[in-house]
Order: sequence, then structure tokens, then C-alpha cells
Amino acid sequence: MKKFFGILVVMLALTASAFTVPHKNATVAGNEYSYNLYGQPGQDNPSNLNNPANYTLVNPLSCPIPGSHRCGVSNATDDGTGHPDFTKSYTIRLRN
Amino acid sequence: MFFIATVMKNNTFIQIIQSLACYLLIFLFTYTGVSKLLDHSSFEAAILQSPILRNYSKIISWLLPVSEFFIVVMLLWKRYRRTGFLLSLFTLTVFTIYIGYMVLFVPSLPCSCGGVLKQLSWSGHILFNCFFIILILGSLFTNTSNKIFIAINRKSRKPV
Repeated sequence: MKKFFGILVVMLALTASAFTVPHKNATVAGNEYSYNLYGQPGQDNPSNLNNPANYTLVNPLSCPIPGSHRCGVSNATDDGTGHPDFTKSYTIRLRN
Repeated sequence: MFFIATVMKNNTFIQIIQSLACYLLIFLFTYTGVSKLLDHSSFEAAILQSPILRNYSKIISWLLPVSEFFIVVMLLWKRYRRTGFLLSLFTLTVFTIYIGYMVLFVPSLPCSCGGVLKQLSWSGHILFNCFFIILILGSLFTNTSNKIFIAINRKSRKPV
């Protein structure tokens, strides 16, 4: 019995993670994307800002301190590849 | 003081503490490892925002959950449990040093931890890690399983 208790704990942890990890609903509006170039050279370059490849689908997006540099976008629609579709509406998130 | 000394001498009590520490660590590492893999893009994005880990985000985002599963296997296997405890201690100490750095220099960045642990603040995370570090140290220092000696009479070869 004691032997299998470890396995039981592993299964319990697997169940807990299945219930607590947020599941993404891609291709519909309301997704959040983090800007990969935040804090890097060229972060404010418009061609980088408007390139969907520079964004990663995250859940949730964390931009706690408002500022002037883009850290991601929220309320965006996925383009089907894990990047935001900038032809649809989205909200820019900024931070220091 | 006498009461504590009496209790600490009790092997059953020590074994319960060791088992509790072991199962809590198994739960913690399985949970965080699976959460990191299930939400891998978020985890990698959080590492990308860290000033010291940014350049290694791809490797770390895979290496960390795999290491956590490796520790779980060590802890599950009674023969390697002590190694599992030592690896857990090393991992949690490195995490705590990293968190200390984040608290001091970049407190606005998100935590790259898995599951509900994301909700913890940086200082809350330090307390959480310290609890587990104390638990591991307690288990390692009270580990008597490999310190059993049998006195043998040289003449009779029988235990005395």
C-alpha cells in the first residue's frame, strides 16, 4: 500500500494541474499575447511592433506597471498559428 | 526541551516527517512540471522577459520541467530518495536565489512558475520555497535509514 502512495500522489498532482492550468481558446477574440522584444533593442520599432511573429500566446499576460513600452496585446484574435491577428481589434498593453 | 528531545528520538515521528516531505515534493514537482508543459508558450514567454534567462529561454523552458520529472522519479524510488532530496534542495535553492534577484532588481516581471503558483507574489514565493527547503533539510539531517550499525562480537560472530 505504502509503495503505491507515491504513484497516487503523482496522479493527484496530474489531476490538479489539469484543473488549474488555463486552457487557451485560440482563433476567437480575447486572447493575450506577450511581446517578445520587450526590453530588447528595436522594441519600439513599428515594423517589430506590427509583426505578429514577435508575439507569443500567453495566459494570463502580466503587465503590472503602466509605462510607455509595449509588453503585449490583449483582447486579440488568434491568426491560427499562435500569433495575434492585427487585422482584427486588439488592446495594446504598455509598461515601464 | 525534554519533550522535544523525546519526540525527536522517536523514529516513527521522523519517518512520518520524511514521508510527508517526500510526498509534498513529489506533488510539487509533478504539478509544476506538468503545468509548465501544458502551458509551455506562457512559460517560455515569461522566461523571455527575464533579463538574465532571456538568451536561454528555449533550453530552460524544456530543461526545467524535465529536471522536475527526474527529481520525482528519484523521490519515488526509495533507493535514490536521498539523491532526490539533494536535487530538490539544489533546485529550490537556485529558484530562491533567482527570486531574490528578481525581488531586488525587476519586481514587475511575471513569475515563470507553473499553475496556481503564478498567483503568488515574489515574496510569497520566497516564503513558499523556504518552507520546502526547511522540510528537505529536516529530512536530510534526520535520515537514519542508512546509519544502522550492528555490533558483532569478534569471537562469536553473533550480534551483541
